[in-house]
Amino acid sequence: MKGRFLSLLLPPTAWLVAFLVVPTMVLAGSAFSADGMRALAHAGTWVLFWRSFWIAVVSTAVCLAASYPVAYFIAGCSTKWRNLLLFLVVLPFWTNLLVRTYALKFCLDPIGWSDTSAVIFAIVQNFLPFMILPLYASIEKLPPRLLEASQDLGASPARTFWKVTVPLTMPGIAAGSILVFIPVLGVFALPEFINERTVLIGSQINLYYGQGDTGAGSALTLVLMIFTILLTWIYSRFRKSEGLV
Amino acid sequence: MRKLLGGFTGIVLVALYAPIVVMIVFSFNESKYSVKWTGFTLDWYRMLAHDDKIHKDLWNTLKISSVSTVLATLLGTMAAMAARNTFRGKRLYQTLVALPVMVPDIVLGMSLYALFRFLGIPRSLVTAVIAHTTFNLAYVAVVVSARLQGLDRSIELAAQDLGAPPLWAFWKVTLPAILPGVVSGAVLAFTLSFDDFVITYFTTGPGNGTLPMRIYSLVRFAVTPEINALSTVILAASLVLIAAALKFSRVPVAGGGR
Amino acid sequence: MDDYDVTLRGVTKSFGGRRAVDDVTLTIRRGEFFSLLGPSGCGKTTLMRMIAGFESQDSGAITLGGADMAGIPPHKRDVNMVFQNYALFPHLSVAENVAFGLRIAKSDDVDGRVRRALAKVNLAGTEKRSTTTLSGGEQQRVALARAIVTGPRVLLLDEPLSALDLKLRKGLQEELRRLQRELGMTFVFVTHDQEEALAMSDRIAVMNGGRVEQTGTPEEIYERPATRFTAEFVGSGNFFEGTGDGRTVRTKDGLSIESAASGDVTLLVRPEKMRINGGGGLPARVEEVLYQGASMSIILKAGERRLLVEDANDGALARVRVGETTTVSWRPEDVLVLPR
Repeated sequence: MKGRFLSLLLPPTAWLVAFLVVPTMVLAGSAFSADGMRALAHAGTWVLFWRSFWIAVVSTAVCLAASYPVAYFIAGCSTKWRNLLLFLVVLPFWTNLLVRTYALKFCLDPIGWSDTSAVIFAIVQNFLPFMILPLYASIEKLPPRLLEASQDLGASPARTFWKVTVPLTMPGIAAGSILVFIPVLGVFALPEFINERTVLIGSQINLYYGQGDTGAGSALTLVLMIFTILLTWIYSRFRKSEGLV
Repeated sequence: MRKLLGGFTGIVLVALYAPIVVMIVFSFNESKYSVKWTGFTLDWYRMLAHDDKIHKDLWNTLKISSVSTVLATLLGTMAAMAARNTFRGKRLYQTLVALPVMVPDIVLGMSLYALFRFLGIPRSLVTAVIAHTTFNLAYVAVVVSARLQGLDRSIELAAQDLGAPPLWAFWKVTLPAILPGVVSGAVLAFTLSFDDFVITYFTTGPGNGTLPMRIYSLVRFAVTPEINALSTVILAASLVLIAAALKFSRVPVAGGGR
Repeated sequence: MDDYDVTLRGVTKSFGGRRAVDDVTLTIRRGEFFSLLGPSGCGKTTLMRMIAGFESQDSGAITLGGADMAGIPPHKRDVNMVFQNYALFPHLSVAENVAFGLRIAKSDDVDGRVRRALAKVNLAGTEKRSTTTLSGGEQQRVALARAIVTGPRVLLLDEPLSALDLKLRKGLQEELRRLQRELGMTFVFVTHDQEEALAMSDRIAVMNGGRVEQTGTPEEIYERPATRFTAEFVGSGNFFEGTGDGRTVRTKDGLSIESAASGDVTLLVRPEKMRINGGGGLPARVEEVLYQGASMSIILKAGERRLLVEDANDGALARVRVGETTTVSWRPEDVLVLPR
């Protein structure tokens, strides 16, 4: 019994240690080099982080605002419509991000829309499925009787929404937000397509990489890694359920 | 109110699909530069068909995706099954397995690049496969784990009670029951691999480019209908994959219980 | 007119072709404990939901305190509901649940009123607890406190005790009755449990298939049922179908029963009104004796017919043995006449 368990546990663990833990250590080593430290000392780097952070926050917020009505609508549909709509929403997720971004670029270029708002629009448009699905899952679990009870006690539909629906769908909101925020923080090809002069953390890392400045690239990557792991850890602290993710 | 929500949903869906539709339509556009429609042509597709570099890219993509999917499915399933037991350090283990999903893909790409560089290993298809396997492992583990949680362990105990040795019980009882989860995980892994850009970008060798990388480099040069054609082809390939995945998920599992 | 708090006139509601509520007319008086009694699917819950405003009727009118409720949404009606599965807000504490309606109405002394409401339902001191740590009975009482604290005109209770075990149910029945009398609030109580309805109500409306079979006090419903359905649903009975000529009713299996009824009728004699070994009456054989502690049920067979006799456990009956032959009799005035 024990032998069987270990034979199951060891290979994936060994793999992950070799290709996750060790690279992180190498990354850290590379980051704490002269090049790396220089990059971190440079004020512009932190401006970049700040900028990427804010774009990610805004994108996530807009994504949430756009996704909630859609998720709410789908949750109120009949099963047949629900399946169809969910399928339509999820389908883009299964296709190539670059292809989708390129298609958007192809439409936006002629109009000439390529500033930061266009970048945010592109991000939101691409990450909608990531937000809609967890929101939908949460909204769908909401017992309708609770909404009735709220109205019965005198709360208008609007008040019921803010005082009952939103608090109770917080798990979905949190899950969706994390699923969008973290990848967006490190995105680089997407914004570059829309506006090649966009410089975010991702593109800066790419720049260092292209110049062969591994130390600087590693330093930025390490900071990004620590930040997102920290965020995920905080998120899991506030969640009460089990599971791997 | 429902009408408003429904209308909004419609707008969102249009925003999701319109660019793609436009792109596909214009892949048949005769004119190379203008956005005006000048005529229908298959020239761009013909160019693709004759482009050896693109063929190589396609091959590379398929190779990397298939090998890494097999590896990731194997390792991911093992990881999920090991996680059924309670043991010391289980929390740490779970965090480790979930790690690739917790960070942006550029972090994974860059750290693996740092590793290979440090070890002096030149990048190639092999290093790309290693990278893909690593992040796919996490996804497969999550999917299979979810399936395992819903599994009634008493069927395994029943099998053993009826005299089946553990390995036999696993093969004939547990595995068939989780097979849909394993297949879903595998399909997810393959699709994610096929579409991946960032991680491949950092970990594959020169001359071992993939289709997504080709798109990236083409776009940086100029927007041409060729890219539209290539994108459409990639899109079609994804859709074929999805259709195959849906077909697979309907495969009946031997032995009943849901 | 002012005496009536809730009136329903010709209310009808259909779901997909099926009439859930069929032309119901009822008046519920202010301060009354009124029950809607019937089997599942009889329309009582739909009716209640229409009073609350969660469904709107296809036709007919509903008034509350004299005002027509057509087009008025639930949050504007002075009606509060205690839901069957309590519907407590999981993200709010007990006190916050109870305070919910008060905060919307911007009442003053919210804390005081919450405290008093919880004390009224015997839950003093639970203010800060999470609703998920409460037992079923306690959750029920929080739901009750929440619904009464805003002092609504009418309180609707949707089978509130059905999920509780017997002892708890009986205890809460008493509490609810006492509470209603204290508050003087109109209670509209939905249940399928006829004993419950009989014990608690001032008046009952018996419903079946969307229609009201009979409305009356518990005594009226039980002692003078208007239809066969009501007679069968509320309490048990021995039924005799036959034709009467004004002096006796003759059944198909040859029984002659003294009754002033004429025409095709169904006669009903309640089990507790029947006597064994009283001399005269139907010869019957004892089939089954069911000991129920405080009372006994005896099942007899007279020919092909099964009869049920119930009486208090007073020793005399305890001497009845299975297989014994005896006689079953009753007083003519205890024979109830029902339409066929």
